[in-house]
Amino acid sequence: MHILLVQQSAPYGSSHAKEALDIALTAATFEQDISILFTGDACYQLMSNQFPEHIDQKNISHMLKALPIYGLEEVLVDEDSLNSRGIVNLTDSPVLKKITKSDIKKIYQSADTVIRL
Amino acid sequence: MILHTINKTSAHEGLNQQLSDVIDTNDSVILIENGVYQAQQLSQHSSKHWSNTAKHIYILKEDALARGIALDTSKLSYINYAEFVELSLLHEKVTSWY
Repeated sequence: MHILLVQQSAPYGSSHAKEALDIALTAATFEQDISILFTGDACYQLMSNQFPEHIDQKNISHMLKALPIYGLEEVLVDEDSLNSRGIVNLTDSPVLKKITKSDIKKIYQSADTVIRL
Repeated sequence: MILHTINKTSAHEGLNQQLSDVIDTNDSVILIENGVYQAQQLSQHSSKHWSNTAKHIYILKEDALARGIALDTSKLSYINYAEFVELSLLHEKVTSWY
């Protein structure tokens, strides 16, 4: 049973990013097989040099670094979304992998459940 | 002379198009909240895009730093909250795009 969690929201303007991360961590804690795909504005979550203490928020990119500790090993990002937004500097993550449109189609087709947030 | 604030990314095409349709050459724009991400794409737009009509484009420093937007884009003026207040008083009205 494979779950695909698709993130589409930027990190701080709404609570969507945080809530999606909570779902991922909860699923991983209960030993579910879950992958996260960052597409569209969610790619902004992966940018390096974020200092959200200026707006009294927690740094979401630090939480992303902790994902492997919870057994979440497949963290994917849509390369086209990164390129169209001019995002060059990504936060360091041992599990983050860039993928193309055709890979995304395969992942959607092979997952048992897809959650889009 | 309007001060426009926009708090959404360029992915919100309808919103950005509406701003482009109504903006005048005397108007200025402030990028706030998720609007600051647009700083990275300002050079990529057509002549009809709001960024090529606006007199000045400002960006709120706190929101840019929070999101990892480097403070080095030449097209933009970086402002703090006090300067935001000052600008809102210097314009006839403030319009929010959200």
